[in-house]
Amino acid sequence: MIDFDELDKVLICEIQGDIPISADPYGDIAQKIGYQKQDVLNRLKYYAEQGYVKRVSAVLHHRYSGFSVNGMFASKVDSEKVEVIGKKLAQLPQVTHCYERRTYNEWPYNLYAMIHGTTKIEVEQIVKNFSKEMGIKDYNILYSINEFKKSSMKFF
Amino acid sequence: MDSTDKKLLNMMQRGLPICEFPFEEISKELGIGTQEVIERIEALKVNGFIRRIGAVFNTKKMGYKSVLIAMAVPEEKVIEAAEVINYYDGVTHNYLRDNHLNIWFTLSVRNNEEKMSIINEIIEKTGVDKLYEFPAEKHFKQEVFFDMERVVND
Repeated sequence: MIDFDELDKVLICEIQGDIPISADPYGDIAQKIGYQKQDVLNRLKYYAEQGYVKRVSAVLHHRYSGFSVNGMFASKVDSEKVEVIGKKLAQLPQVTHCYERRTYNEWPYNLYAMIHGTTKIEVEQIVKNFSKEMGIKDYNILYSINEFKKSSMKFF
Repeated sequence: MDSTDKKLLNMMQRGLPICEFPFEEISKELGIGTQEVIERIEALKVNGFIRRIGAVFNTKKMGYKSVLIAMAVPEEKVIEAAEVINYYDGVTHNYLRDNHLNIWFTLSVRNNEEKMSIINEIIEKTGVDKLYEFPAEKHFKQEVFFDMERVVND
């Protein structure tokens, strides 16, 4: 981790939430935090080059954007097959997140995927087809009933 | 929402160019004026399609580790427990799901001490004595993109 200086801290504060939607957003930020626009832009480019910032982008409210159903697929896959099956699962366009995770005796699921669809039927069909193809017999789909929190990380 | 809005949403999800005038770059690609791009984005925000436009950080690179945590909370205590959990800045996602393990949240922390102190506080305040930690052992995908040009919801 870099040693963040004062400009980093105030700049990250400005960009971790919403940037101004204006013709000159970084000029606006620079003015607000009292630095030169070029310094702000240079830092931002540095963050992107170094991988601290993946991108500057829009995060959608998927519920209102047509992808209203969010199911967490939790499946039990043989440990020697998890790599191959995980990579296949990750290729599905409806899958946004896919991980191998720790298991417990009472919760033996090791392969997870967040699946977003326009309907529950769509999500179920995706899971059914995939599980059949991969020979996965033990799985759960945990649908989200309520979103208590969805935010982005605040670093400073 | 028209086809220009859908294209705009797809472009903005993929990322704005990191340059002096990002919205002007987008306007050129869409073949409309910068002012129109700004107005369209404002409208998409007001209408609830866009949650935020800003930097997406690599939390790991920023010095944090994230863990998915699940717990089984009795139905009558769910709202109270959700409030306890939401209090922490490191909790960025918190969902009620249809399973006996019904509350699922992500926690990002700087170190193990911070994690344990938050977990212990949650246990104490909610009275749920078992939290299941599901750290990721392997990452296969983390790529949120909703193809708006695929959805029909004019």
